[in-house]
Amino acid sequence: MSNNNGSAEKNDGMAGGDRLSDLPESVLLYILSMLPDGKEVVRTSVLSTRWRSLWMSVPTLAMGSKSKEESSCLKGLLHSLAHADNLEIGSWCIKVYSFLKNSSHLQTLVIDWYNPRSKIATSISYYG
Amino acid sequence: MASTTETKQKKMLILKSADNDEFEIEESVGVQSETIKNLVEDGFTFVPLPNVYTKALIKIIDYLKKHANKTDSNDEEIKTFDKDFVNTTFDDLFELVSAANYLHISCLMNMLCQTIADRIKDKSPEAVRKIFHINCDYTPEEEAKIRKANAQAFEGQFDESLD
Repeated sequence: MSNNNGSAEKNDGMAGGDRLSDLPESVLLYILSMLPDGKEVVRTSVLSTRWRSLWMSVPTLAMGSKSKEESSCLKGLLHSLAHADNLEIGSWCIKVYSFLKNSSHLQTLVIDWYNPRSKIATSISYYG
Repeated sequence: MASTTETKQKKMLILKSADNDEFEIEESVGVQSETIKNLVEDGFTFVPLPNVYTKALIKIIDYLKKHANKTDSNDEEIKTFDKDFVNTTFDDLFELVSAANYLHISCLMNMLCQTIADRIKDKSPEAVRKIFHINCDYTPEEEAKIRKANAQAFEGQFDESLD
């Protein structure tokens, strides 16, 4: 246990470290999962390279859409997921994507996928 | 043997912070932390916490004491306490979330993470970077590419304030 003393010291003070990223990934994902809108979670991909793919491991993303235009956000999201090489996306999920293309009155949709890298199953809940 | 009720003393624990300050608390208060509970079950009464600094530990002990005395009638009082507890700077919230994570106090983790999420939800990426001192290591080209890939997530007005 005394071995931890050294590493504890590096968190002392406010000396310009990457404080949020010092937290364990599990805590970051917990915070991200509490953001009310999936778009806010996706936006964190631009913070730094460490954050680029973090959002893909968030257990739940809620995508709300108040207009027809906004449903294209979900399409864009699914598109980037489909092109993320560290994800395995079930074929039915791709089917949902093409279904969305032709539908603007979708009420509720839950999409689940499994990220083999982080071993976390993720689900997108979409409500129109 | 008949006098056990008289002599029954509250079991006490000593917590030692990373900056070597010691705090005596009741065992029943401390075991709300899973980390402390495990050590108590292994027979420890002296608990060194090398990842928790005095400033955060004082606040967390306050929290544990308040929540150990939860009854049906002081619900409102605890709600007010919790509200004041998280009404602090981002720096403090991060010290606390780090400590609560190490101590495994799930209700406190829940409250702190929810507070942080609520306070960053409408912020611009630039503001979030400043608040959390994240060094952006993207090239401008890489950053533009990421924004383009999820363009809808970056549309609209964002809050640029840092509090």
